[in-house]
Amino acid sequence: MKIKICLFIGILIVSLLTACQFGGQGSDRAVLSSTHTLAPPPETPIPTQTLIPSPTIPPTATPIVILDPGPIKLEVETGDGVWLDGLYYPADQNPAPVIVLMHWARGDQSEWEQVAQWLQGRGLLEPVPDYNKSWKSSNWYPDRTQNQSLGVVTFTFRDCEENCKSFLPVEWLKDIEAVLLATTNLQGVDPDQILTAGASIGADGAVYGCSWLNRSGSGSCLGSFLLSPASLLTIAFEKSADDLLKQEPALPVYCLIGLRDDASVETCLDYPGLTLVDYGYIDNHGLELLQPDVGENPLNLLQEFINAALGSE
Amino acid sequence: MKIRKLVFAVLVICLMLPFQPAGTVLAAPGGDRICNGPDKVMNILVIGTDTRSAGYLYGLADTIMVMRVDFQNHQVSVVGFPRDLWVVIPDVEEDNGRTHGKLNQSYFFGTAGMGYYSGEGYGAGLMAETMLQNWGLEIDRYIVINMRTLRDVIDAIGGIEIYNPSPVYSFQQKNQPKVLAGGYFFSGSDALLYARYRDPRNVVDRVDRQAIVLEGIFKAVFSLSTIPKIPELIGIYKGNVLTDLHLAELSQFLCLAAKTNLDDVKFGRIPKDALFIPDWEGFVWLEKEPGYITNLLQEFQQGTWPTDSELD
Repeated sequence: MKIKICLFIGILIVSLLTACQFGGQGSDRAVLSSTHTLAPPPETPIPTQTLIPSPTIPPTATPIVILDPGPIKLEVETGDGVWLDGLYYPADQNPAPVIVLMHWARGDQSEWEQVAQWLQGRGLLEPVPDYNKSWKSSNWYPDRTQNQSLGVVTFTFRDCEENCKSFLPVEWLKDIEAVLLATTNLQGVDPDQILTAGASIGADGAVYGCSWLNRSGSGSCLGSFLLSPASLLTIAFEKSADDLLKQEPALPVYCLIGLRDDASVETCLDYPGLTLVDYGYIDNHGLELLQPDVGENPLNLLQEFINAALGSE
Repeated sequence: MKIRKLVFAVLVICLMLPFQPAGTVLAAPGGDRICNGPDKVMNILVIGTDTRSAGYLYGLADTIMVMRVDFQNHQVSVVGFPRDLWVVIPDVEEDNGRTHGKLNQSYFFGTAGMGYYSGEGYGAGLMAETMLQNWGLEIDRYIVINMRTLRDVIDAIGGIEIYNPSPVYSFQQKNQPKVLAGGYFFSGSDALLYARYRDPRNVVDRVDRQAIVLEGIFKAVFSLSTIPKIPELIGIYKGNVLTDLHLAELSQFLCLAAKTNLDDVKFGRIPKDALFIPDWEGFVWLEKEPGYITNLLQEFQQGTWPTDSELD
């Protein structure tokens, strides 16, 4: 009998270890495959570690995997059944903080490609100038903070391939929710260290998404970096920003604007608690603020924001 | 049907053209409200002024409409007012003891230049107060736009295509049409001229031509090439339109416009057969039956009138 019990316990442990091992490998394959399909449920987040063993299993049973730089293609289903394209640039550590970048209406996720590579800091960025779009011209980018590699997620709002062809503010809110939820489930992401950034409609989306994620309980968003927000997604800026700024301590919210961009001025000027950076009387809007000669390097400000949000030097 | 579409286009364009800041309406997504709009039905006073200058220091109200927007039930209805309606105008006693005037004068007396109104909203504020006192019509927001702003909008979007349904004459050349029937591509200045000719053969279609111009802008703004610029356009034109709409509300209305079939918008106007022109000096309209407009506007506020477009 004793032998049978020992044998049974042994088989059980081996089974659990085996299951755990398959679980880890399965996740790796899913994330590393060219297409990573993530279908976030409408309410309850998918548990990322469904095969976590009982406490009797040593924690070392789950191997820590550092993903290749990628980027990994994402397909995210929204709550209303639309599939979005995204990209995941894994960090060189696991788990790592992640920043979700949201594009403006004049482009799609590719607008953020170079900034994403810069934030990821894993050697993908090539110093190729782009004379039409300063934000894609990496030859003026500052050096990244040593030993800081972020995970980065970009995605394209629905009906916005190349640029937005419809004005779908309410649907874009659903897109943001789905992508943030999916982000919390990505391998290598620390769901309690999520940041958001965006330009124009993406800026409104970034602050909304950060607030939404914290209220949803699915993860923790630590702050938002905004280029020209203007309450364009049917949600008042105040509604989301106050959620972040009135926390104790307040989460960092950076707002970069040109003073001739009236809607952004109305949104950010004199907003209590906000870190406002105005670039003087220019009408640059959204990603047009990412250029080397507007004043203080906006990417240095992005780095400053990240440090503030993550509590790093 | 055509006129109904045109009028709605007028209103949508006015809502798309930005504004000066005001109160905050906070709305969270969810529920059955379309476009995350407010729970409460909103009445928006839309005024087109005749001022040719860039500002709003003075001016008469050329076009007067109130749009009722119900985000809960996805209903939009519009009522147009004759600008020559004779009404009680509050707060203007300092003008030689004046108590009455035309409805469009209530805007004029309230403008910053005239300064008779001490509340918020200048001319639009006084006109809203006038509507409340005369008919119990409660106004929640206002939008005032002048013709010069319209011209600048048209130039910024690269011109507009319009179709002119009938020849347009001018007072200066009554026998030679200024604009023949047909399709045109107008610059801002061309469009403004077209909208402003006072055709001696038909004074009514001046308003219609303004609506045609606005419909052209509407189509151009929502074309594929312009949609990515909407956020930027909102920024550029803010300050050129007087309004107390908040940015988020503007976005809610843009969203609503994109989701609304123009044929579902109900349009009415104060019926002229309920009015008469008294034997006074000057051209004004009076109610034949006192209280008629009040009752009509109560139905408007309840969403029971108009039941269908009364312009078809």
